[in-house]
Amino acid sequence: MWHIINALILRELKTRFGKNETLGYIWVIFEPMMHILFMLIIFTMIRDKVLPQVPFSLFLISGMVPFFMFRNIVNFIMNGIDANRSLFTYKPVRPIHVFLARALLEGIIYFIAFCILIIITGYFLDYNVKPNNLIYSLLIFIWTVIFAFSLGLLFAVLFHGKDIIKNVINYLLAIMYFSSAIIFPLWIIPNQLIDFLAYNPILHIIELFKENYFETYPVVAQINIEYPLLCTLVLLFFSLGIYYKRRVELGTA
Amino acid sequence: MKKRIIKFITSFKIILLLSLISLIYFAFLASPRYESTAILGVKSTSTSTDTSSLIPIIGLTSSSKEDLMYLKEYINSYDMLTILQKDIDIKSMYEGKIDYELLLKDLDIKEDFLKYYQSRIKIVYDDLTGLLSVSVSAFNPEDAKKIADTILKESENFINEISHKIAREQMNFAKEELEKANLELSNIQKEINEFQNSNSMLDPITQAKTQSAIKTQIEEKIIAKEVELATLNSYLNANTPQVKALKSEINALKSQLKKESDKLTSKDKNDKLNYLAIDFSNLSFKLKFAEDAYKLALASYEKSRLEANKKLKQVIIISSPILSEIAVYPNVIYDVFSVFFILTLIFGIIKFTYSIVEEHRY
Repeated sequence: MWHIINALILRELKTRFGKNETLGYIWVIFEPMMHILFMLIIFTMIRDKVLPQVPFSLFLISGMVPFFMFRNIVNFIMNGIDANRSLFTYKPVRPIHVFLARALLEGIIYFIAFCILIIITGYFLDYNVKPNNLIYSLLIFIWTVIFAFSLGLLFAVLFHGKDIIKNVINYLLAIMYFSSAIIFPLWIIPNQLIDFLAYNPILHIIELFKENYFETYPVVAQINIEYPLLCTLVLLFFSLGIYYKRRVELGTA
Repeated sequence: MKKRIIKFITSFKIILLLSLISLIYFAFLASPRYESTAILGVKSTSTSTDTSSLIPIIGLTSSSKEDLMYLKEYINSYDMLTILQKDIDIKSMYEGKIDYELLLKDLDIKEDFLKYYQSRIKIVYDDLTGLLSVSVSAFNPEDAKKIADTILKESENFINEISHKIAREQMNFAKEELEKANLELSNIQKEINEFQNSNSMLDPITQAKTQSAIKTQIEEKIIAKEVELATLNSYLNANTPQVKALKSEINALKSQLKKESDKLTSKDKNDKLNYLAIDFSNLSFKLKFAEDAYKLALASYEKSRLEANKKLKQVIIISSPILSEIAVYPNVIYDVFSVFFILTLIFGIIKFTYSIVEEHRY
């Protein structure tokens, strides 16, 4: 199973930016960074030094990277079957391999992008970017990948062949971007609104990540670990279940 | 046998068994917990409000919220736990009860004890009403109420202690200032006394006034005598005894005048009246200044003394803790169902993953 996923990851890398070998691999990392860098420059120019707890650029990086990773994994998995349909003629290759390969690849790319961004920014800000709680930060990063994988898998199996709904989901993900407290700190908005935003599990996960990464990050009372964990379990259960039920239908070339 | 165990573990029966275990635990083993809730706020008794209407817009916290936040931290602190332990022996209320959280903790270790205590109290600040609700749970209703009551009492002390401490500090400062002003005043008074003693006069300025009055008197007399002399000269010889007597009188007056004006002003000597008058007025200015400073210091001391003794802030109890009659925990049906639900999810995930992996094995 692992060699199939391995091969698929290499294939994904090649198909995405494979024209020039060395430049292609750099571009794989640089492409997600570009977007974040651009946002970072604009936002830090507009409103730097508004957060006493954490430097604003680091706040942005620690929110944007996990969120973009989440969004990309959901998107790529959702469109994974269509992009790799021809491969399913080979018996050993199943849709789940494609999904896993895509989730893993995005996870690795964004992990590297995160490390590079945070080290460079930390160097320029002269800020110690060593995570406060390394193990938890890492686990939550992996958790984000798993959560995104299960959500993407659910969408992929539920809305297989329904492109309109997939477009709608893209818009919903954009709404999630604004409700996940990525470009603004969560604790500046009123309590009643936080209660409402707290239905968004990815908000919990990203906030937990930041809380564990930065020592001085304020803890918001509404953020807990149980709710997103339960969401992940439910999503994983249903996505795997529905996938298992429809695996033959999904895998036909 | 081994095969049967594996079959059992991989079947759904394991979930049912685990749920049954949790049912037994929740229904028969777990000690019931009772909750007692108090709602409180902090009100300042001083009439002057230093919060301007702009503050909510800028987003600064009002003083009442600040106090409640301090209070929240204080209730969660080890200090509060120490007081609870001393006053009502909170450890014995928790010890020996069956609670899965208690199993993992040793109440003799400070950190564990504090963590357990913190997990048994729930403090929620409501932004809208500006009130703090403190819920305490314990293994019997009397204990919960007792803990909540003690927390409330301590909270009141704490809130008053903050404001009193500040006021006391201010009072001490004012007292020091007052003492300084007092010392300054008595120093200057002493200086004036010494000045008066060494120059043997009460007030050089009035002295100078009388001196100049004497001088004018003598001058008037000289002029009168000189007029008399001129009159006598017109019909008497210069050698006559009257003229001679008048002349010597005038001379005596003149020398007296010189003496008197020497006392007032002089070219070379420092102990003359004009110098003394300036020195004295300097001293009296200093005295007046010291007196004013003393008056101000006294007033501010009085004010801060009043403030320190006044009850500046008050904890208002909106709803006092009650003796609850229904245990909030364990909620058997809810808890068992949650365990069953979560276990089912995990079991399903493992099963599906296993099937998917198994199917693709070559």
